[in-house]
Amino acid sequence: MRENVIEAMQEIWTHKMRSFLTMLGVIIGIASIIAIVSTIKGTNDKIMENLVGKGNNNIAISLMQGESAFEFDGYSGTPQGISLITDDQKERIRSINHVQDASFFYTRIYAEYINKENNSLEGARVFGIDDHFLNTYGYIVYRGRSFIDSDREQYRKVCMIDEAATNILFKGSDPIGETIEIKGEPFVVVGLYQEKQAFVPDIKTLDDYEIYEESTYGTVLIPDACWPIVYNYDEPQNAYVRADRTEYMSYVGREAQNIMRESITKAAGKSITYRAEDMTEEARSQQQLSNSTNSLLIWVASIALLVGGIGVMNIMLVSVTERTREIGLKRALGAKKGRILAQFLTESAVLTLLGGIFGIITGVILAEIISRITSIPVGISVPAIVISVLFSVVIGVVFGLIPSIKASNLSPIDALRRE
Amino acid sequence: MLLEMQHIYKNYIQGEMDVPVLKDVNFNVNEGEYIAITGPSGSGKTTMMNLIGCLDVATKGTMILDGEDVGKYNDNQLSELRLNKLGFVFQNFELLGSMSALNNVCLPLTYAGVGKEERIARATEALERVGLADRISFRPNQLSGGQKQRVAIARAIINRPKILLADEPTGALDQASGKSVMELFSKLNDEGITIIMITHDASIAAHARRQAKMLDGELTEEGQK
Repeated sequence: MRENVIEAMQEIWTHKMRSFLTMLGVIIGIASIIAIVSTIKGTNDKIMENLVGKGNNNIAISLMQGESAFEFDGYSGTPQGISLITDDQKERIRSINHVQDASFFYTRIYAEYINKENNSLEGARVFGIDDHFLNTYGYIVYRGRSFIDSDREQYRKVCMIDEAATNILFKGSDPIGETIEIKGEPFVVVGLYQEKQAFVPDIKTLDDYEIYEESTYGTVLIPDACWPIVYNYDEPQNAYVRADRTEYMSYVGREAQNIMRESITKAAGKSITYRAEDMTEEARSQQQLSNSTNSLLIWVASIALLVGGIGVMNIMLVSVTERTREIGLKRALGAKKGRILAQFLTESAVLTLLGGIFGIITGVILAEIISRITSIPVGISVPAIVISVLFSVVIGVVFGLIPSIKASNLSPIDALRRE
Repeated sequence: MLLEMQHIYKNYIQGEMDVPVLKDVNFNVNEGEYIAITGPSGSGKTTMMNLIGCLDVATKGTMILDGEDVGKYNDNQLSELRLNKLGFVFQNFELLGSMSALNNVCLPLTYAGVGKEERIARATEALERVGLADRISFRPNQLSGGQKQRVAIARAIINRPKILLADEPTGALDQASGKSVMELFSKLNDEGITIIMITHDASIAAHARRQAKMLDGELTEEGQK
């Protein structure tokens, strides 16, 4: 085997130009596949990152009415037939396998009447939070303090605000210790918070934009105990549950959702229920869309590879004809048919393997160039590289088979007589 | 007896014609002999060489090489015989241009599965034996005709064959190189190697110790020196 490989390398080196041109088909085929697969992987990684968040494996479980989140409009009050999530339910959710933490909170989307003097927040979110909220969501308080037990016990009207809210309400001045109004009630700003990891979303489409626009309107956190001061008593809570790994998000979401649904009685009506939003599912369906588009491209690239393989076969047939005397000599010296077969198969496989390796290098460079020009993200897929290497060897063996059999079947006398 | 050929016939089929090339050939060779087979073109010399060299099998008759009945052997067994019992020297040397003299000489050992170190040691020794110790890393295109033929002879003897078969070994050489190749053959024969040489040149054949003549597919012996 080793001798065959060395001999194959010598033969390829002797005919450098011809070998390179023969490899070109394989190089182009493999390079196209690597470039496409890298682009698919890059896009998929980005979709997953955008929707699921990098390392932030949170699942939101929200009260839904039909297909959209239940909205408290301030007039109809608390929905009927939904009891509060009990401490027992909360503990059961926190003890589900793969759950790191869970937070239960009240929320208003598009909250109105949040003012600081003449500045007001439009479309802000307000959360009434428990002491798990910051940890579950991945927030840290970077100035001032977080809520403490006595805030909740004494119903202190304190709040924390994010950077967007700070900018809108305070226009650059220090908010700590200042008072803002929520629905006319004064709340003292005790802390400023932000995400632990700066996550910069990649926004290219309107959908991406809609996912992230909420965060630009500003968010206000108040202790959950103070929620009835500004909003209603006995409002149903929503939950954030954090899984320890992304692949368990769907499972954890389903389990937590089922426990929370125990609080919903028949009186609530059929359309109202708790539902876990499954970002991994969403990401997967988007990924499938991008995969199916690109799998067509892979078929086209495979045709290039097939043409490359036929080129290899052609050159190997030429090589057998050219080296007929050499084959005759080797047979005369005692080489068996199998040896000649193995020699030509090895040569063909080494040729396509080298083509494959050059193809991978070209493909990776190509993917980088595509990424720079079109700003489509690129992710190099190790399995794709390994499969490409194996596949190029298979092409060499398959397309080298006919020439190699032809070579091994040559009669030594005829081969030696050939001019 | 090293080689026994009894009532050998060889026919080739050309189109629908059955052309007899060898007709009832009887030929025996003892170990250590140096024989020249001469004859004009088309007399059947090369066919004779192909049969002795186990490159082809007879249409009829018995051939026993070193106690083995070759007629019943399949392709792989014939390859084994060529590898272990025969050495070939061709008119046009038949060296592989992409390999050094040393690697050309190593080829039969590679097929015999000999390890790299032993291959190199034995090939170096064989090249020394033919007087080319200083040319082992040269490629064929860097060697003269006579030197190329010496490399081919080193390759032929490397696996310690029973018979060295030479087909017009001086055909492509000038007189001086031809003479030195003949001297080398005599030396190898003195060392115990059996040589069967095919040539149409009477002066070359004269170097052998026994001569046989082919004419129209029949073999006649001309006596022993």
